[in-house]
Amino acid sequence: MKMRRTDTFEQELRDPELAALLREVYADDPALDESTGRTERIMRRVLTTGVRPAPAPWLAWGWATGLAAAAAVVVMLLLGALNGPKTDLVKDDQPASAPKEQVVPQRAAPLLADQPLPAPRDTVKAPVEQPRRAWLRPNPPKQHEPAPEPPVLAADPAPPTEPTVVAAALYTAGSAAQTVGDYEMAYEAYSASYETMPNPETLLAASDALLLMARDTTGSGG
Amino acid sequence: MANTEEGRLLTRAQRGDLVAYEELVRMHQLRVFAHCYRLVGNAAEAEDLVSETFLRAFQHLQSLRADPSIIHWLLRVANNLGISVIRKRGTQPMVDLEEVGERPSETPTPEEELLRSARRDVVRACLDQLPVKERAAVLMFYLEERPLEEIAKVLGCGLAGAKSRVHRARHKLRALVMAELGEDLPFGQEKGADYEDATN
Repeated sequence: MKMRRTDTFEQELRDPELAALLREVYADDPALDESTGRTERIMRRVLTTGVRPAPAPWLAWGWATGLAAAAAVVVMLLLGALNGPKTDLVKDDQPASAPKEQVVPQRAAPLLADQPLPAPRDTVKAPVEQPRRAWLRPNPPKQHEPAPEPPVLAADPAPPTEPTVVAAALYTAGSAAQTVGDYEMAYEAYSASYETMPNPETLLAASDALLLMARDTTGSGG
Repeated sequence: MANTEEGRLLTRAQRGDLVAYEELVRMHQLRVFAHCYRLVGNAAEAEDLVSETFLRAFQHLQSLRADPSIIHWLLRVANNLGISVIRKRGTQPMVDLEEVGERPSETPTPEEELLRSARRDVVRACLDQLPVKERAAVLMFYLEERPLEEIAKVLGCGLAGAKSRVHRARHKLRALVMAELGEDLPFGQEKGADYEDATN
């Protein structure tokens, strides 16, 4: 017995009248109209259920290393806090109270010796304000010659424009939130990023550039 | 797979892009809903089924492939969920055939519209009496005009299984509708006779 092809099967089963009857049955069914908000309802259910999709194995490494670095850099970028010396300032700030008392006599002594009648308040005031600056002078040149970090941004081969940076930052923040399992926040961040930069290709490129920059920054910083 | 728009969206969704996943939902939700609605005959239940289907798709996102489309996977899941809903509900049809003629009309409509409405209810009640897989098969083949291969994928059976389900369902549906509507059928008995000749 010869095997029949699918087309033949379908031809045999054709029944235009039955098809017409079924079409008539469902023709003007309001339930089958495009429902406004169904997509949103579905997404809300997906997001609030909070079940994370298992990440692809080949993506796990990239996200794990990149996201932590990117999230830190994004926060610093947005706050404009990429100034290296500040950390040193904080680190060296602790013994600041002790030198205050020592510096006063050291500096005040020669002044008093050279000028017999200096204004006493000046000699008292100056050492109080000066030590901090004087204190910082010896240290920064040693460790932080290329102190301002923002030039790293400018040195990037494709410097992102302002909206691109914001969109990429939002996108990365969305990824970070998703990694943590906060899907609602992730969704908000993703949506906001697409509103800022509707072109997904540009957005992904900017996000990748940001991740790359984050890796470079954290790599050079230790 | 990434050559199509759907493939690109799926790739992005698999990278964790929820907006891309939302686009996929927007792309397929109506068809999945229509399938569920026709299967279970109830809009609220169909809405639940659609949500559940896309939730499961999200949970299995990494294993989804858009070759040629994820719609077959979605419809298959929706179909299985619909089957379990119907089984839980029992064999009782959503529309009772005996109540069809007595259903009061909510708004005054012309006589023709009443008759059409009554006939629609009868046909739906007849569909409800079919085994659920046969119901899905007949709806996909005659109403949605889907090829047998696709029906086989959605029902999770072979081509021959899909064909036999469509065949059986068609016969049963004809018989049920004829029994309820008598001579007022939109299709005559001759067609059935033609069909018998063609298959013999």
